[in-house]
Amino acid sequence: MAVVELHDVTFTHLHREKPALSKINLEIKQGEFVGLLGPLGAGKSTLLYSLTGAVPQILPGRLTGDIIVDGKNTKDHQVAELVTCVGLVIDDPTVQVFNLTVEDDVEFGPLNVGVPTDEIPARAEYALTASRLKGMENRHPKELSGGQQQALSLAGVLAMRPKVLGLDEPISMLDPIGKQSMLEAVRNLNKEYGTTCIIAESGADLEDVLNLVDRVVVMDEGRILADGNPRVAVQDGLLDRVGVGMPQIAILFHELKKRAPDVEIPVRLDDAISLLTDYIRKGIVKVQSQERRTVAKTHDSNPYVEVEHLTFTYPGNVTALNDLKFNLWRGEFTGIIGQNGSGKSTLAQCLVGVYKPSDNRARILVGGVDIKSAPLREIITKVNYVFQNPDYMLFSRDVDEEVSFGLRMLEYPKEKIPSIVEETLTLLGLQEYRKTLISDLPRYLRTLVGLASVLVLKPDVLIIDEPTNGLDRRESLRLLNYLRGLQSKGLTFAIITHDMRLVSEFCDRVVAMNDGRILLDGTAEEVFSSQDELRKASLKPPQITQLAQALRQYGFSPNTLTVEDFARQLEAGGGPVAHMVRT
Amino acid sequence: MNSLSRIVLLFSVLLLISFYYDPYYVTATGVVAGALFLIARVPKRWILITIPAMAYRFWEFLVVGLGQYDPTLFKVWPQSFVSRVIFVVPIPFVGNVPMIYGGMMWTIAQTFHILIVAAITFTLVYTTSLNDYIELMRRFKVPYQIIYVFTVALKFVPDIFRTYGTIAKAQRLRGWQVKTRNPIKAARLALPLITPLSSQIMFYVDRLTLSSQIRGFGATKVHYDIHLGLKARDYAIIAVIFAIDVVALYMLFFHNAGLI
Repeated sequence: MAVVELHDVTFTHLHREKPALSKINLEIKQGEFVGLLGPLGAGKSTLLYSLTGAVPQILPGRLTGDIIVDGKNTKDHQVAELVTCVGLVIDDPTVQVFNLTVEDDVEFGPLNVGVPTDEIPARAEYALTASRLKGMENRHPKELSGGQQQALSLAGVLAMRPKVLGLDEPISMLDPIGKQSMLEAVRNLNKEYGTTCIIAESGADLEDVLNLVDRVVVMDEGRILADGNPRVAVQDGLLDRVGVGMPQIAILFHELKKRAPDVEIPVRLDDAISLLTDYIRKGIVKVQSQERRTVAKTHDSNPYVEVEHLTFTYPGNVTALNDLKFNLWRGEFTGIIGQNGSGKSTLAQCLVGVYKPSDNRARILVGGVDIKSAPLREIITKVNYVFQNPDYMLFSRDVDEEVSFGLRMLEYPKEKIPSIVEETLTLLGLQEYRKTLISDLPRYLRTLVGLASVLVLKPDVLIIDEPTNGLDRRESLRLLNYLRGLQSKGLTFAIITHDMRLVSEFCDRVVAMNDGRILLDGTAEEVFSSQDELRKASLKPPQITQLAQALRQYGFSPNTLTVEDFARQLEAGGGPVAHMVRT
Repeated sequence: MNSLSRIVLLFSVLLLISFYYDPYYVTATGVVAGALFLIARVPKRWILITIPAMAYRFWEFLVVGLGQYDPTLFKVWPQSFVSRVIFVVPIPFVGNVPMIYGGMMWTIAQTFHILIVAAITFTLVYTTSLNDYIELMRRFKVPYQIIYVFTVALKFVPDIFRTYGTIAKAQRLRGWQVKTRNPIKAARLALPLITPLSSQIMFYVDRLTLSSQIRGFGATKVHYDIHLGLKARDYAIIAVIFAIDVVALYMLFFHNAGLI
């Protein structure tokens, strides 16, 4: 029986001309787990919001067609009345948590909808169990990890026992293990309790999402392009064409298929492991064992950034950095990884002088400048930091004005400013947007403008917090390629990210943090092959590395980092697979 | 302590402080508020937020205090004391206006009211769950719209403070600073903070509205039958607080206790 029905649904946001949803027809049955895949702006979130009635009641616009959830037409009911039919979890857990204890927050919803008092504890019990938060009832939400906070958002929605659960990129802000814990909670809910789940995803967590769902709906520009088994989406490269990207295992098997046409394209890692094992046993695929030695990176110069004895304690005695030692060399592209709260952003803010170390022994030198005593104006031209949300920075009318702001503040000679701005815009491919209004720019371009507005100060070292947050796979690759281009011009980059795939593809060096200390520091190969240490830091390697590690007994190198690395170890149809692979 | 008795206790201090100007009374309520603040283990830095507010409003209160140059306005403290002149301000068309001790005591008391009210408010926010407030307000038939505004504000204010801090940091890293004393230039230099903050507030309000509604807030058919769960001890505490308030207000209105 269909629990969600959309009949000819078209929705156009207020003051917009282009519809966000265009003639959508969709039916979802009770107990299905659907992945809603598409690039940014495809209409995924709008579709999820429309199920709750929030479109058009909270997000105004023109809606035509009918949306029926659990037999109720959303046009005839208020959002708050539909919460027992459909729940929604959005990407940011902090916005959804209202109370001071886990238990209070879970009871908030039932209390609001007037559930009888004696029934509320049972509801809370169910929601906490299904979300795997039992035993944490009395904890303050801020004491929970990112994954647990999102699980709390989920529990708060579940306590109202909705038949349908919408999840709008629910794991995008979480570390790898947090993602896994959240997705396990959702999987449990779907399998054990039969709740219909619909999860939206635009690329960064595609592999994790495809591991869960049993149906995918691919969207772009407000339309449904494909609907069916997840294999449909990876079979002909549709996901890649719309900009969501493909799972690494699917790219690998597509290449394999060119040599061995009978090869199936797997969607899940487990399927890939069993398929490849089977192909190896049957002789369809041969492994060309390659001794891949990890070469420890050596430096022949002194570090440009030197940090020693760095301790930072937040008010309330929360130690974020603990006697940390850290170096950066010129021209490096470093990935800083670690679970939520491991101290990555605090380290970055200490490096740029925003936070002062708590320990007097601390030594922070950037290009010979002592960050502890240098004025901020001097620091920011040596080392700078870009916050993850570009909208925290942008305020000017157009791009030109925005990018020149820093130079004006630092009192650069007026006649020199236009040429420096021009140079910076050219570096990031933004020349054509010079006079474009900031408000007209899409998220990807706003991210680039945010970057340009710091880059214009010509820092030698730039630390960027989650540069690809809010971007789909295609845009993330474009951005990282720009950064790589700048690296080749001598700039030193450090990116803070949860995207292990991008780290393995772009970073020369990876620093894994845990509990305010550096746990691992080396090349991506070195770091991602240290499985036990990674687990300790709530991290896991990219999907292709996991595949190689799982098939180690067949001769695959556990240091395999990219699809190309993996393909290099394969032979099929009488020839190597490696030469044509793109990641 | 039951949340209702806690709320009654804190509101009682809030009520009294709004009437007290006598430095002894202000100090006493301040000590009570400070003790509650410390017992509740509210992060001490929260109180720092009040310092700019106190500094800003001090000048405003000073102007009003200056207006109270007539010592007969003060009925409790000796006239010989409250009438003593601290300084004189020449005001065009009005002449010389003296700031007397009575006016200055009023100014200082008003300024400290901000600190005490903030300490009590922070203690309330820190120790009482949102569900408790909602329960209580519904008990007293407070309209949904007011409860909604209250609920959203409680969540909104700390989150927006955090966002403001991040925006300020991001702009400082672009070289932003206010160096001018010219108020027009200074206002223009505030744009890098105000513009992103405004757009973040709008975005946040949309998300918060959505979040609260998908948590069922504002559902129309609420059958509210939650028991307050007061124990004998709570009834006793509420009764004592009520009695203290009645006596304090009687003393205030009929014997000027707490006034200058």
